[in-house]
Amino acid sequence: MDKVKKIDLAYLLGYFLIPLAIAAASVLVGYLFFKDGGTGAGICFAIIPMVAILWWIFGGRTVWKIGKKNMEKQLDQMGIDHRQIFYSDGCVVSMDIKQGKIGLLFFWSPFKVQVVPADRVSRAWTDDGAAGAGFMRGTSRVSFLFEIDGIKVRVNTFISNQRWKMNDEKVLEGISKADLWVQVLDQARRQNAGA
Amino acid sequence: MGLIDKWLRKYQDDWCKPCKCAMEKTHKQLFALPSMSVGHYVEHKDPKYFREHLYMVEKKADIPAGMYACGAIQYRCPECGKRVTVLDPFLPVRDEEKHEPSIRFEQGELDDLLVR
Repeated sequence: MDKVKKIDLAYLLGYFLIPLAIAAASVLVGYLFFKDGGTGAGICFAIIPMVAILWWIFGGRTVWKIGKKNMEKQLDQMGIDHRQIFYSDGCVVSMDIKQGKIGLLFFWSPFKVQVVPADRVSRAWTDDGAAGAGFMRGTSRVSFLFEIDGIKVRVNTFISNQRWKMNDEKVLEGISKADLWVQVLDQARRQNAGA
Repeated sequence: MGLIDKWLRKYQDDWCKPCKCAMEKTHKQLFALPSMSVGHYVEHKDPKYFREHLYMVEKKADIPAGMYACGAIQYRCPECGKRVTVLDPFLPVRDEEKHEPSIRFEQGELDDLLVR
């Protein structure tokens, strides 16, 4: 039985190292063959390294978008019901309560949908991220977490670069979503364990 | 019409517009609205929708996480006898509530909802 992997090491290394190698090779070619400047030097010293930088900025998000689109197709092919699905910033969780199966897709492993039985979830809980005291009490992140194969998976239901009051509508919605998913995970886990 | 009247007419649910007086609260009931879940709230103004999808509950704790609830209050004007039902859909989140805009039914569409 395969363990859940949050990071596909080949993809992670390829994501950083391949553009780095291409940019380095391009600079080397520019240094060796286009010392006097010109179009070739422009391409080797500026355009190719710039493409590498753009890849690091936008590539991950683009691949992640494609991965999310493909996830539903892959789940269809596996016969997994994905009507109950939650898209977060770094993770997608789908739940087939009837079959007791969880589908997972991670930002650093965007090509492989990992389907695992729900009874492998050892616990699930909500983290409202509350911090501060009195009128300063608030949160910038609400998430639900679950432990599967000893690995902690955090799925954000609300995230912000500011701190919001705990009774703010956005925060309340995030807490409600997190509580709902904890309930769904518990229900699927119990059902699968019973079956 | 004075500013206070304007405010009352716009914001106060228990205000009888023609008689310019506060109405009496005759019934109050909490319902579960299982057809609406967190992040998927859609405003409905059709009384038929509420007749089909509201389920009476005793207390807020009976409503599962992520499911909408709906408070319903029925008012009666002591002067003209007109009845108004006001629905207040909200999402219960632990000890807090996230309220959606309330919906008024003034033509007796939901008169029997609270006494059925």
